Order: sequence, then C-alpha cells, then structure tokens
Amino acid sequence: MTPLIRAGRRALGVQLGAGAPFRRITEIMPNAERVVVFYYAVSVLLTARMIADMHWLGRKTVEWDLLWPLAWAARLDIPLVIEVLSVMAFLTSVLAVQFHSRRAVRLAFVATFFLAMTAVNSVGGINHPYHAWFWVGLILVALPDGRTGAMNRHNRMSYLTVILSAQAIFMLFYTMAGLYKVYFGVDAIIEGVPGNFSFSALSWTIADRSVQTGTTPLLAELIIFNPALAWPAFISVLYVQVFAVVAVFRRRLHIVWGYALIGFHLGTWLLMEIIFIQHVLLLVVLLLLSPFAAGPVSMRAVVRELPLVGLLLRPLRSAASRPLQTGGQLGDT
Amino acid sequence: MPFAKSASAMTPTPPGRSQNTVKQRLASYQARLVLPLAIVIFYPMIAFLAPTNGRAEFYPFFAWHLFAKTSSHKADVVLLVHEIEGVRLDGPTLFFELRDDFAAARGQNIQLAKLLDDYVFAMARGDSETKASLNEVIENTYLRDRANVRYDVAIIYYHPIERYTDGTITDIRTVASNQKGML
Repeated sequence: MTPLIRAGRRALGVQLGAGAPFRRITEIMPNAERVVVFYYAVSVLLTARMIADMHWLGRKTVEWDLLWPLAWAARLDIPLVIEVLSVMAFLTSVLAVQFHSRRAVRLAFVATFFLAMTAVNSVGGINHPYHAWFWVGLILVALPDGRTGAMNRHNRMSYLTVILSAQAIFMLFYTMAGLYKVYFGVDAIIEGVPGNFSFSALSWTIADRSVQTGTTPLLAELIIFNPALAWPAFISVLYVQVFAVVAVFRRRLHIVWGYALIGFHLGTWLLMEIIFIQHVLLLVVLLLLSPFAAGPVSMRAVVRELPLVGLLLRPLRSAASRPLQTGGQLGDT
Repeated sequence: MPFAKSASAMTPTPPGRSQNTVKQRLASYQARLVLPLAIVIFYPMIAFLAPTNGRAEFYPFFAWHLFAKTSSHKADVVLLVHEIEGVRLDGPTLFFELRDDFAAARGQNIQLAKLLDDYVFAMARGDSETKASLNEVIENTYLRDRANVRYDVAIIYYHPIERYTDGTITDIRTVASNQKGML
C-alpha cells in the first residue's frame, strides 16, 4: 500500500515535511474555522434569497415534476411545502453560523438546504447553481464536534482533513467539466470533424448559447467574430479546469487557482450571461481564504508547482543548474 | 493517504489517558483521511454510472458536462408554435420569440431546453409515463398563459454563427405534434 500512496502523493504533488499543510496546525486552525463560519454566513444570504425565489416559484408553477427527495410532497400543498422548506433552510443557516461546532445543526442545515434546492429543480430540467454548495455542506457535516480551541491534535487534524475534502470535491467538479471538454475534443479530432479544439470552438459555443436564450452578452459579439481572441482563452480555461483537483493538493496554487476560476466565471458572464454566483462565493471561501494557502510566494515557485508546466520545466532547471554544480563543464561554454 | 506521515507525529499519550480513547480518536482521524480520496474516486463513478431513471442525471450527483461538446453543426430541441387560440401564426415560431403571448418566453429559462432534452430521451426510450409528465409541465407551466395552443416538439439543426448572424436554420425534424386545449 505504501508505494501506492507514495506514487499518489508524487502524482498530485502533495507537500509533506517542511512544506506540509499540517505543519503549523495550531496556527492555521483559526483560518480553518473562518472558512466554516464564512460558509454558513454566506449560506444565510443564499437561503434568504431562496425564500423569495420559492414564493414566486410556488405561485407561477402549476405542474410539478418532483425529484425523488420531494416525492413525498406530491400529496401536500406543494407551494406551501417549498416555502416552509426555504424558511427552514434559512433558519438553520442562521443557527449554523453560531453553532457551527455542532454536527446536529450542520446536518439540519444541509438537509433543509437539500430539500429546498430540490424544489428549484422540480419544475422540469435540472439547473446546477446549488449542487456544489450542497456537497460542500454535506462534507462539513463530517467536521469533528466541539470548539476548535479546545480540540486535541487528532481532532484538529480531522478538522483540517474535512476542509481539504470540501476543497477537493469542489475542485473535482471543475476537473470533471474540463475532462469532458478534452474527451469530446479528442474524439472530434479522431473523427476528423470540427470540435472543441477547433479554432472557432468558443465562438460556436457563445453564438449557440446566445441564440438559444436570446441574450446579448457584453463581449459575445467580439469573441464570436474574432476567434483568435477566443482560442487562447479557451485553452487556458481547459488547463485550469482539468488540473483544478491537483491544485488542491499544492497549497501554493490555492490562491492562483481561486483567482483563475473567479476570472473564468466572470468570463462566462461577459460572454454567455451565465454567472455561477454560488461557485464564485465558494471559490472565495475555500480557495482565497484557504487555511492551507502558502504565504507570500515567488512567481517562480508558483510556476514550478503548475501541473504539467512544472514537470516540463524540470529538465530545463536541471540543465541550468548542472554547469554550476560541475565546474568542469563551465570551461566548455 | 495524504498526510498520513503527520498522523504518526502525534503527541504521546499522557499518563492516565485511556489507550482506548486515543485509539478511537486515531481511528476517527484515519476514517476522515480516506474522505478526500473516496470523494475523488467514488463521486465521478456514481455521477457517470448510476442509473438515471430517465433523467439527465442521478440527482444530486452530476457529471458536470456543461458545454462539453461544441461543433459547427449544432442541434437543439425546441418548441415550435403553430397556432394560438385558433389563430394560425405566419409560420412555425420558436417559443422564446413569443414574448407577448407567454410570460415564460420572456424569462428565457434554459430549464425548458433541458426539459425538452429529457422529453426527447423519454420518447427514444419509449417511456410514455415520463413523456406525459413532462408534457403536462410544458403545457401547464410554460404554455400556461394561453388555453389553446398547437405546437411541435422539434429538433432544429444549424450552424451557430449563421443562426446568430441571420437566423438561418438548416433543417427541422418534428418529433411530436401536440395540442393544448381545443382549437
């Protein structure tokens, strides 16, 4: 098992020893707790908005296509049920801000939030604004109970592992999205048809979204008719998405990936009028405020950590350092 | 397991503390250590492989295949309206263009497109129950503002930039012709 674990660590670039995230456990615990408090504080905002959304959804929806978690509501007054659920999600989120150290409260929040978000998706077709929020909430249920200040070392390490898991599942979603694009792009190349890696791929996507929804995003036309601008941006997005889950295990990349993905979401708004505001907030909470994030790091250190790029640069670095180590070679130049 | 080395650096058991409690805490920590690994392995497996029962996904798991595939030849499932309250339109008209007739058309809600995808998948599977259920959602939610409507569920084919520029649709294939109310 150990060689397998070592190989996994090497593949992900997990930093142990001097750079290990758990080296300064006591020091980073307040930051870890801050992540949890912020998560529930922002949940208050989201669930407060949900109350109004559910009210209007209940009024305008005549026919429901209830998903399995809400199947029990079919025999009841559905608009009333979903309004009650949204209020419960709001109240539990408020309680969770103060009592985030109690598992029962965290569980109550994620259960009510899950039912409330299911209502939003029970009108035919599933949208995904709340999925990531739910999964992170579910992971946080696994936090050890009790005040962080009074926790023993085992529990503090458990606490940090759960935070890391929340980061991992959230970044996994981006990785999955990126891998799908790569898969279909490669498939199109093999088939010899236009696809994701075509020069105009992003232009087609933006034009298609625009005609589907009748929207006119601010920068859509610029990109639709200037694919040369779009292609580098699309390839960069693919890179950031595909390696998002790897970045979780390289703490020097947390902040960089946080900003890169927030930039991506800003881009989807400017080009497609899609903004995953919940994802932006999660990026702020989990990555920009990451308790594991390294302090000030040099650009060179960040570049070395970049997945694939760092690996490709390694031979160059070795080559550059070799003449200095072996004085004999200096004379050859 | 990541960070396993840190676990071995645990503080020694203070005198008087039950060895059992320490073991339990260690077990509890080790159980959590598996969590990130389990997530990375099992979430995608469930999202990709779990039965969806006629839906696009096994809720609340999702494979995140958002805008995963693009091409110069696109297809989209749409509602094409022919007649409203006994008045025949100039030609088959896309639902989202009928903003004066339907409040839902003004919202440009992409959920309708996803619903229509599920509708076509249900037809392809011969799942008449799901199809009927989705049909009720279409007629009673999206078309609720008019009592009598004749419409098609159709697949349209187009080049995205040509359609964006001048509205060109290269082909239309009707998959279902429906009628709400009496015309």
